[in-house]
Amino acid sequence: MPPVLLPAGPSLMLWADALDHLKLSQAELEPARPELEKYILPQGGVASSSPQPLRAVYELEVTSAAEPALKPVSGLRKVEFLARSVYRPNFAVAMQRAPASLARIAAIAPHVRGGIVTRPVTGFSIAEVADLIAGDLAA
Amino acid sequence: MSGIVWLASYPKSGNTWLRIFLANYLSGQSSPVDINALDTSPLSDRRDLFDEALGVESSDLSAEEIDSLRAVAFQRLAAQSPSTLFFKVHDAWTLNARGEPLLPAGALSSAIYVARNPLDLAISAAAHAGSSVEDAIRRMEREDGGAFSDPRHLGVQLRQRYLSWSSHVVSWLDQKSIPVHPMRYEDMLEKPTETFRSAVTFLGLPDDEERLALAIRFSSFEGLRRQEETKGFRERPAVAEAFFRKGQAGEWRTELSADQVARIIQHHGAVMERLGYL
Repeated sequence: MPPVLLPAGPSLMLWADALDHLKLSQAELEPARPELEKYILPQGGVASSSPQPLRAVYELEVTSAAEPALKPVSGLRKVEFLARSVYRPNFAVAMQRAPASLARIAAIAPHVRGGIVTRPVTGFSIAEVADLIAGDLAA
Repeated sequence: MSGIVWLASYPKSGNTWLRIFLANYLSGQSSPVDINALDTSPLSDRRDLFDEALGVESSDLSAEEIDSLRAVAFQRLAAQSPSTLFFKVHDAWTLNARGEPLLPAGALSSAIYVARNPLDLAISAAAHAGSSVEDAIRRMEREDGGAFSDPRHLGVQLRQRYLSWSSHVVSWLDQKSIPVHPMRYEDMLEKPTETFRSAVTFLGLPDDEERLALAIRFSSFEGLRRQEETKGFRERPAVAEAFFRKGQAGEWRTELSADQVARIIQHHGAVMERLGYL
């Protein structure tokens, strides 16, 4: 059975420089914390109350390469890739659930696409990175 | 619970060279360790290490809050590790707002500190940052020097405080919280066997002549540059043409102006003299 997940709430948290880059004002936005220049950007709508199919997992990485790129992850490497994508894997270790967690990851792996998306620090467009992901999903 | 060894230096002082030597010595393999797989000594300022150790998002914390928790994070990582952990660190040895060391002190920790002549370091730091040598010299003078400290931006690493070059050196060599083994970049170049053996001995690793020679050979500058040319180096900043640039001592004699030399000596002369550079 393909894996499913419960999506998070419909909002993003963006730092001040990201808002500047996207030409969005922070004046109307609520800070994530008073001490931080990080803001909650509502996306509209409501969180889905039903599980959604998990189609793919992408890891975003900043590198010294000149161009954005997407490298698919497959085979046994996908199991390792998904294992490091799990939220707080040490929690499973502390609860002595590491073997069960790994078994679940191995079961999920054949049903989802995996990819590592790399981008340079500067000199790229967000649309270019998004197109890479959209193209991979459509393949 | 295991111990922690800090591989400490001001940036561009030979830290990565030491890490690669250690990775090769620890592996004991007959082929060089991949420079893109230096997992034996990760950067101490990686967000994911902190987040995973404490189960919180560092991106939700202020830099001061993170500083107050970093020692705890490393203690937890050590508690979970069956063997000694090695971390690369560019932070100066500083105290957090509570007056506690930023990094865990006490019997669990020790450090190897690599120093490099600031006259050569300025040239290397300029190339690494894609800046002028003048800018690099100014950065080395700043007592608030550091990296990833912009509060409007999520840095890929946690905030680091270098202080000035002189203060960085003194902070590590004069702190009394942990044992520290000082090494000089120039000695790593000129008398590698003796210098790297001293590090192996300090770490309590077996003194294996053959393994030592192989690890020194596998971490030679030419070998590292070849690896970088062939497959790149993921720790190279985008603005730097190459991470492994020249690997020499004394470049300052032809690359720095008399004014630049005088300025560096004026600001750092006392510590340079202490380290035998004057």
